[in-house]
Amino acid sequence: MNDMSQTVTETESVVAAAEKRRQRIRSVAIALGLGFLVIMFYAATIVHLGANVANRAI
Amino acid sequence: MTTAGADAHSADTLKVLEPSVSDFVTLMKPRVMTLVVLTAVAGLLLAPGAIHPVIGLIAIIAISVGAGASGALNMWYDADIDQNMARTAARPIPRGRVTPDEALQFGGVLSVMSVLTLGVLVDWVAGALLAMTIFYYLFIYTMWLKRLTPQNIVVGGAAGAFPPMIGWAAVTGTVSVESILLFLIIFMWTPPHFWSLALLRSRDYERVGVPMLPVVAGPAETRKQILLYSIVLVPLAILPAFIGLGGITYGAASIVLGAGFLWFAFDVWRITEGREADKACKRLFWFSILYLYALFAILVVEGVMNRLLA
Repeated sequence: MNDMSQTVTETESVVAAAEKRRQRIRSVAIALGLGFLVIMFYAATIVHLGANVANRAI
Repeated sequence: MTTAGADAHSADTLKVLEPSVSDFVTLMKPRVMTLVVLTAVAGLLLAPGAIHPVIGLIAIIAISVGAGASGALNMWYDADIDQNMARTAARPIPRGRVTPDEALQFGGVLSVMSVLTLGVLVDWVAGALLAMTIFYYLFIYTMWLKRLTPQNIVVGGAAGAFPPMIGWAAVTGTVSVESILLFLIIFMWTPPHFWSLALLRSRDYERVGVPMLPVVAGPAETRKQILLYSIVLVPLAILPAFIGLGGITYGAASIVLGAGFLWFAFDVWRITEGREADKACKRLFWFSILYLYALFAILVVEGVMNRLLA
């Protein structure tokens, strides 16, 4: 009986660890996606503004 | 069973189930995406007017991500039938590599982000067309018509035909006759392309209850429809050479490749029995891919040359 409950506990910990890994992979993917989006919006903004970036009043 | 044995087994199982980057790439149907990129680039380059290269690149990225997102949403909804078909059983959801919820979130987030990016940074008409494409592919084709009518591929083909129109709209902010012609070429190409494959996989479709034309109307009717659609497709694909969208190279290639397409379609209609019939279907399937890639690749090359020499 003890052996069985130990097996269940260990399986649960393996599942929890796997879930944690999944979450970590998901977080990294979201971070990379957002970073890419920021770069795209920055590049597009610079292109749209063009020379006006340099012609602003200081 | 020993504790260590159970632990090792669980760890092995979970290792297999853990998703990788390639699983999410697969969810986006990368082969379909390459065609989307090619046809969207063609629309973008052939459109009259100028677009900054950076904005053009952003438009292509947004269109291809939007197409990939709709592919992921399609795999999410079709997971139940995918697991019972040889062609699709190895997809990430049936294999347990990606959960349906993950695919839904992935596809949903990318859909929204791609439409907003295209709308805000490039053009709202293009953004609206991309949103319509995703909506059409998911709700009209995947959820509604695919399991309802043997004309599923005909209607669903429109979703795959929108990218050149979106690329065109990214430059001009409008939909024009020329972009509709590019749309029609892909739209008329889709049925003979998919039905030649469906003739080979009709048992799979029958088993999972998808009413593909060979299952509902039979192989003879499907072969006739393939030939009829091909007869309409080939002149349509030559037309860009006569309205200034394609040059001499395109004109010559569309005639030669069109003759090949008709030849293979005629073979599918003519040869109805045995292994030769299957071979004829395979030949048309593979040639149809070459046909569309080649035509749009020539349009892209000619578009680049025109812009460089202008």
